[in-house]
Amino acid sequence: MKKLSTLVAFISLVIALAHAASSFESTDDTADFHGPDVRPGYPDLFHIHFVFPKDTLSPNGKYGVIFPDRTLGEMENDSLHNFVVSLDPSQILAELDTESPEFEGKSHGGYEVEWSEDSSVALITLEAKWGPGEFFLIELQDGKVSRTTNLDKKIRQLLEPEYRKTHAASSSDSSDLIYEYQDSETPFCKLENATRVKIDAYVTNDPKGDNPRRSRLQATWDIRNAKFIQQRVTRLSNRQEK
Amino acid sequence: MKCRFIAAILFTFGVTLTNLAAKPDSSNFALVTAPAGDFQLMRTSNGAIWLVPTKNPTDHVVLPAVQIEVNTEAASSMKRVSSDSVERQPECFVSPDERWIFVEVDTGGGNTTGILYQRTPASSGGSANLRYEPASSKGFDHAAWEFVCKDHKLTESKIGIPDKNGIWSKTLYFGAWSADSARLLLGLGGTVGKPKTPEEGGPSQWESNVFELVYFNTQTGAFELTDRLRKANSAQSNGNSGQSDQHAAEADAVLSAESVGQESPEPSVTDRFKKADAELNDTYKKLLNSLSSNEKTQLQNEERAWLAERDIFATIHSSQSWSPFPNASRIEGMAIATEKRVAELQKRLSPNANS
Repeated sequence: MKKLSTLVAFISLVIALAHAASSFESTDDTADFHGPDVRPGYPDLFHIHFVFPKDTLSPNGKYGVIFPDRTLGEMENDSLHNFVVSLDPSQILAELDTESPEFEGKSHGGYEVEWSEDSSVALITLEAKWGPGEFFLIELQDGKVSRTTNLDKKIRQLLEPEYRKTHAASSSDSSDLIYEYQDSETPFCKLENATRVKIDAYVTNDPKGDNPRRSRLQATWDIRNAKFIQQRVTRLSNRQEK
Repeated sequence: MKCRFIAAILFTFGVTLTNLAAKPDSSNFALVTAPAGDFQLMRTSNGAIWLVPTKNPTDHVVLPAVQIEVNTEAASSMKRVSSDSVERQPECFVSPDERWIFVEVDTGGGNTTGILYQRTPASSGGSANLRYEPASSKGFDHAAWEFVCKDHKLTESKIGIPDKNGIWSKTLYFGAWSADSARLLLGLGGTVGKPKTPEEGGPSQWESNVFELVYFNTQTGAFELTDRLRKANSAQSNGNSGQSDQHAAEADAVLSAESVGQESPEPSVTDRFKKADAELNDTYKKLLNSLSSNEKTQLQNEERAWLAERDIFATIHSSQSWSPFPNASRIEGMAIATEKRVAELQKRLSPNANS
């Protein structure tokens, strides 16, 4: 009987300690975001089904990027959106104009958010299977997004003439070009303060093929004037010339 | 004797720790706030849903769990589990009068089911009058499916039979609460019959599919249809739900639940948006013509920025409405934003018109 009492008490203690420990588990990598315009009595979809990774936070802690969670990720693409948000007040500032939004647990997905030191510019990279998929440049002023630039489209426009030359017989367009990492440590696009984006991008038409066509774009994007101020496209004939 | 004493101390200590851990804290996930803000529903780390009074959070009570049928491991058979054992966060919708709570629970494979709770009659003060109990003893989901099956001359056992890969479809989801809390709009859909896997491979095929929008009438305690729902269900069964025009809503869309005594056809959100958009164009042109060259440029820039804001507003509107018809809901959001913009521009136009 004595043994039984002791055993019961010990088990109670272990359960209590385990419960206490799990109750205080915190998510170190994500922060809370509460969406606007919640209907009375209804859940806040942005709180329940979006993740706010802390590594997307701006240096001043006011802005970040939110992505759909796994539950939304399983739904059709139309329901998926990536947003740039502000925290105080809690607002959705802009939606990334992407056909392949990032979401929690996405296969071949990923993201990188680089902020300028003054938190006025964000360079957002959405990853794809072979390398980066899309680049977005977000400019903020007075707590609002003053301009969103789909840098990916601008890069593809630069590559278009070179691509047409090498693919004269093909009906393909530059949207068939795939960005390909040379090494995962070197980003294709990098912010230089809040003024410029340095681009060093490698593209291919066939990342797995035996004789793929490859090009390299080295360029500088002037953020304020929203245009390239320096550009150079180099054709690479095979993998060795990368 | 000494051992018993130590055991008792340890037991008391353990129970105290359990209670400490059971208090609402930052690790509990807030699911929803009641319309009047009197309480929150929170999910604890062990899956239970708590009703936590805003004024006295320590007076929290547990929303009773019920048994639900799930297939979360892509198996070809279903199993019954407690609703609080489901990993994904449930989605809770409190009626405007706070007498009802609908809880949508994940059942695996993208399917959901629902539990309806009813507030028990108030007894004494404190948290006692915050108690909610399941509204149906035999299972709210079964009662809903029974209604749909009767309408389609089916048996519930034929709905949502998994194939050998565990793929199945039987889902019950939230649509909307009516403003008078008398009607809960629900959508039910699933496959009918046994799955057949084509010899040449590919996805399994079932005999047919079933989809129906229904109301649960909280005043009568029965499921029902109105002309609005019959029309939407008919559009769905005729395959008119898909629309290629991005400014056209789904033909079978129902965005709001009708209050009792205020039954009416579903207003067309596409027409509403087109009307507002035409008014905006008209007002914008008038205002533009009344401005100086510099002011014109300023208004044009403002209008471009507003278009982006309108689209974000519409996406937020659609997301926070939890509508099963997101396209229609988004167009409704665009219409609301456009109507506001028309009012703004008309206000600015009036002084000019008067002068």
